[in-house]
Amino acid sequence: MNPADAAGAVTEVSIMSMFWNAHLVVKIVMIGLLSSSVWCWAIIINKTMLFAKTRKAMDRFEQVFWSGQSLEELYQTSSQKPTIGMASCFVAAMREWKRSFQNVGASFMGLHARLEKVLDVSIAREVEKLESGLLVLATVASTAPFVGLFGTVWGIMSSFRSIAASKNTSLAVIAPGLAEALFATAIGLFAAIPALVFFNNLQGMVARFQARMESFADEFSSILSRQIDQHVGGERDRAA
Amino acid sequence: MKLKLSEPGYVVSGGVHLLALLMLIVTFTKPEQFDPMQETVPIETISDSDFNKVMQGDKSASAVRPEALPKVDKVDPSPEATPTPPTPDAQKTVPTPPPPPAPEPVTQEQPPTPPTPPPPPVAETQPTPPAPTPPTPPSRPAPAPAPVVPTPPERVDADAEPVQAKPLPPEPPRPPERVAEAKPTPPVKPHPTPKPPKVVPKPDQLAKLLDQEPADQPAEKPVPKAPTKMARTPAPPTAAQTDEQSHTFDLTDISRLLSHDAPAQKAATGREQSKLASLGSATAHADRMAPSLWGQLDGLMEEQYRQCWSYLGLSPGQKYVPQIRVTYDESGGLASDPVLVNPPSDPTLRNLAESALRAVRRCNPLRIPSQYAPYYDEWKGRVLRFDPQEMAG
Repeated sequence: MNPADAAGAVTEVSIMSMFWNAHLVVKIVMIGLLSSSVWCWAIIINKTMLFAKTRKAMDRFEQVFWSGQSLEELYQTSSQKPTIGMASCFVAAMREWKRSFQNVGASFMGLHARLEKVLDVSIAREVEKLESGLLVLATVASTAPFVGLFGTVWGIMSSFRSIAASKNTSLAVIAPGLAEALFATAIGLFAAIPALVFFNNLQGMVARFQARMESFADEFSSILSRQIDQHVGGERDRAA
Repeated sequence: MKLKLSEPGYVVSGGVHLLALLMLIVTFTKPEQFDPMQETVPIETISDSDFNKVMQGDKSASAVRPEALPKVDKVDPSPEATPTPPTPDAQKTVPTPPPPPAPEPVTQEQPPTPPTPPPPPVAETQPTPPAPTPPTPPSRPAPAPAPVVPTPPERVDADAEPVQAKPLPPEPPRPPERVAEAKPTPPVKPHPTPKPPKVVPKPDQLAKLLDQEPADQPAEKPVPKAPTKMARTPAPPTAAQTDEQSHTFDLTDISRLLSHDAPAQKAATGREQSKLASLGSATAHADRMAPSLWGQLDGLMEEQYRQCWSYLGLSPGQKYVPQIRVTYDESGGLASDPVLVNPPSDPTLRNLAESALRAVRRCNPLRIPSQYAPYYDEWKGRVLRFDPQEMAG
């Protein structure tokens, strides 16, 4: 932008004029930062809702699980609908268990190890589902200030070039250029700050969910292994 | 990415951002303006002496000249070679013109010349007046009183007049001379305007004129002055003539009635003509009192106060010099009551202090020569020391 042109309308520095007067690079930076901010907030909203839902589902599932209901029954009701969190772990483990028992000649050797694996995998899948998108937040939080700074530096650079060209160093002439350049940093910070805050927050929640699921998986696998041992002992008795 | 009802994040986020942008655009349209800052004004301080050195410039002058020039009306025919100052940057002193003349002396000076001469010189002078007014005599046989002057023969006299008048041409130097004579004493300026003459006559010219003066004055002064005056101005001198003139007042002749005297205020002369005094100059300042002048002034004042002071001797052990702060006005009188600066702690010394104050009051109009008038600002306030030992010695 040419400061000399802007000198006439110095007093009018609205957001729109700041955007339209900016250099193309600065414009791109601004648009990118703004869209990344939109993206971040979308992720934040979605994740917050997802985590709330997950927590509710987990609470309900644990309640049902420890209520003394038969696992078979629970599996029947759970496998009908899409599951999240612990329920999906449970369903995956039960499915593996059932598969081992469906064909009669199946050995119980290694069943416990398989269940453990299945539980691990399902937990990993669940965690991945919860964590998806958080990386975007982390990226935006760390890079948005730099991108904004890049826009600012570029804007200041071009505005200084204009000063050199017009040989006019009046502050009224420089000010609009600097303002629009700094606007890029402002947008960068605007995107980065909530991204960073919510990334830490959501990351902590994910870690808590993961710990909860792992403890559930441990308990569940211990229950299953007890069942297996009983089964094996019963068969041995029958065989004996 | 597909928009799902379970994940409304994108829609909500986009909407909220749009809202925020709109609010920004609305609230940011009018940037708050700063209060206009008061501009700082550079302040320069000038001391009292700086102020006294300031010269009055000509208001109508348009530019500040590099060097201060006094106003000069015409070029001095005999310019004096003045050495150029060795350092162009050094501040030059410009002589202060004498102060504006007091009005009273003028009135004293002017009238006396016409009235005094009349009785004796009437006879001599009477021929002259008709010369300028030839048409009058025929019209009127005898103007009323005219004790001495028969009108008709004046024609002859008028003819003779030129003969008498002839010696006059060589004399023209006189009127200027008169003015020049008068010049050294500033009050003589008949011009009542406060404008001081811009050029002080040069000392050597003055000396010349003063030499001439004694020779001319005693014999010629009363006489030649009158003729020259009358030859040119028919109006004033004797009662008879004035009477006559009043009857013969003629508008066409008005140029004769006007004064043909050389203007009393002489054109200021200088090396080059300049109609305007300089507006001011960065390289010049007004004249200052020379140390020798200070010494003379001190001597003058000491002498006068010595006469006024009747002091009482001090007993040997005592040491006290009363100091009195005095403010003079321009004529040398006291401008304010004298103040004892160091009142004595010893009551016996009070007499001495009182005597000093009395002396100052007694010498009230101090006689200060007019040459000190331009430096009034420098000597107007003084602290006088009345040292009894010095006075005794």
